[in-house]
Amino acid sequence: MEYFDPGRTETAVGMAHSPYVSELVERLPGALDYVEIPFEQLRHAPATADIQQHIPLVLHCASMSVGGFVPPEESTLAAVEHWRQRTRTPWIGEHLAYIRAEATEPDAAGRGAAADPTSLTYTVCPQLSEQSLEQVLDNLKPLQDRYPVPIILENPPQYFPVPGSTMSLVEFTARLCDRNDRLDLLLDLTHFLISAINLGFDASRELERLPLERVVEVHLSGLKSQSGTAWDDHAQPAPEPVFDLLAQALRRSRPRAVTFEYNWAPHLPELGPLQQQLRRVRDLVGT
Amino acid sequence: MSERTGPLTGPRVHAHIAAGLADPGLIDSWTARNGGGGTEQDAAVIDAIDLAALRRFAGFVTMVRQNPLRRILPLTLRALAEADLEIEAFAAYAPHFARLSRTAGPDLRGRLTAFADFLDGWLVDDDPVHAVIRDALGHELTVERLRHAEGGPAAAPSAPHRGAVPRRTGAQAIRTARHHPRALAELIESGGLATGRPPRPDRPTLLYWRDEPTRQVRVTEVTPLAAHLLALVDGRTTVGGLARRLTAATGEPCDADQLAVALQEFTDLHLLTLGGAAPSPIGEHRCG
Repeated sequence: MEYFDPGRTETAVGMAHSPYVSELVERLPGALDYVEIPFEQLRHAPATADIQQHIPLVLHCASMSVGGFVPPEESTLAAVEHWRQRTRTPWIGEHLAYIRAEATEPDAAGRGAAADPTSLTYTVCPQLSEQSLEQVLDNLKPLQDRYPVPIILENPPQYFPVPGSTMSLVEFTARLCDRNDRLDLLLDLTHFLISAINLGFDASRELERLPLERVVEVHLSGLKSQSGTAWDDHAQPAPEPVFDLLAQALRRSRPRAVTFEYNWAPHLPELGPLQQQLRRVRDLVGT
Repeated sequence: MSERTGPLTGPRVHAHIAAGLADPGLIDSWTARNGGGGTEQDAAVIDAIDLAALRRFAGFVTMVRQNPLRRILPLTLRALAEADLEIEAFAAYAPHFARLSRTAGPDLRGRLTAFADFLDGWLVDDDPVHAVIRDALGHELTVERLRHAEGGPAAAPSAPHRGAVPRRTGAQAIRTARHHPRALAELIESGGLATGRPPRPDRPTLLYWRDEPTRQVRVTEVTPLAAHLLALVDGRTTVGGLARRLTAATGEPCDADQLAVALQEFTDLHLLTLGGAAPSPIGEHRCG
């Protein structure tokens, strides 16, 4: 088995798991340092972990609903721990988002949440309010106590303003980091750019307001514009503005890993352009 | 009113956004104000949500869940994207897919059928851009159907003659398209749909067949007459009989020997096999 070296000092470069990632590992020996793999995939298809015979795995999770008001099932958290141990992931990536919420139907007292919670298949940006901030801090602490590796939170893409929000995602994130010394970040630069486009802020200026020194991992992927909105697109290569933001972020941060999320395309990406992007990132991070 | 006691509390806002995403039909009913009663607080939350944006997000989430279809319908989905209709189409599909997921947990084939049926109904007839997308859908569904069709091993080519009985073999289909698939792909991939005025249709008649040794589905343009001829092949009529039917259908004399030569092209592609006359179906001959 291959494991991510916890003492590694160089920034590692990896790829999100996809149906063709095994072929990439085989055809581009040494090009990738690790594969980032969704916990949910391991849970439902444990054989996916077989790729660890050839390359280390980093665990990425979308099930802990850190940004929500409804906790995850205990069995989910136990399964995360199982896969943490098996993969020996150096950290657990999780979204600053929610995937469970209380039901809209009220209970007998009219307070809601009588019925089973609503579970989603896709993470959603939380309300960015004082109430949410306190909730995220409350959610994080037991998780940090439970797992012996850091939990790093990924900024979600913002497709629309969430009602009741009183601060920007950058401010929300900065305040989380201020209040929780153990919290580190997974900076998804494509999500960041998408939010900037959709909410109309200056990505470069706002990036400087993030606690970039807390960034442990960076995500890169494509984006596309449809129906007047910018959307995440893991079938497209990261565009030039994402690399510009990466170069800017690297002036103040030294992430331990940079992950390409190219996992939605139906077929293996063209190897030439992919190798160029991998080289470009290695040049930027100086490895 | 403080944030905690006001209507837009975190849990209630999350609850409504999640409810809308889990059941996108709710978003439409909220938009039309046909949704269930709910409390004043619920109404305030719904009023505060950008429902059009939430509907698009539900479409995006639905689209991501259909990613496995990109392997089967790459051109169709690319065409939707190039026409800036991808999110809109999936937003319209989202309530259907949510219902489907609740009842069946569809496999890939079920997803394909459900989405293709939906899209075919969603696209309008008199929009030229929609017509191109429907053409791509028709092409890719035909290829996919033949890819999985039952089909016997390739028949050895044989020499046609006027007394032989042609029978179809292997997986094949005739389709009248708007554009040849090659031209269609060029049109879509070159951004030709963004103008909203795609070129006039060529309406080629296309023969799709599966090459059994490689299992690849191939496409060849054929004349309408050749397509008609293939449609006449019923496994019982001799080449001479087909010639007489073609003569009757077209009003032009059709020589059986020349037709036999023409049929050779189909036998070379393993699309037809030639044998002796088939026995009459049981019951066709009366006793006495």
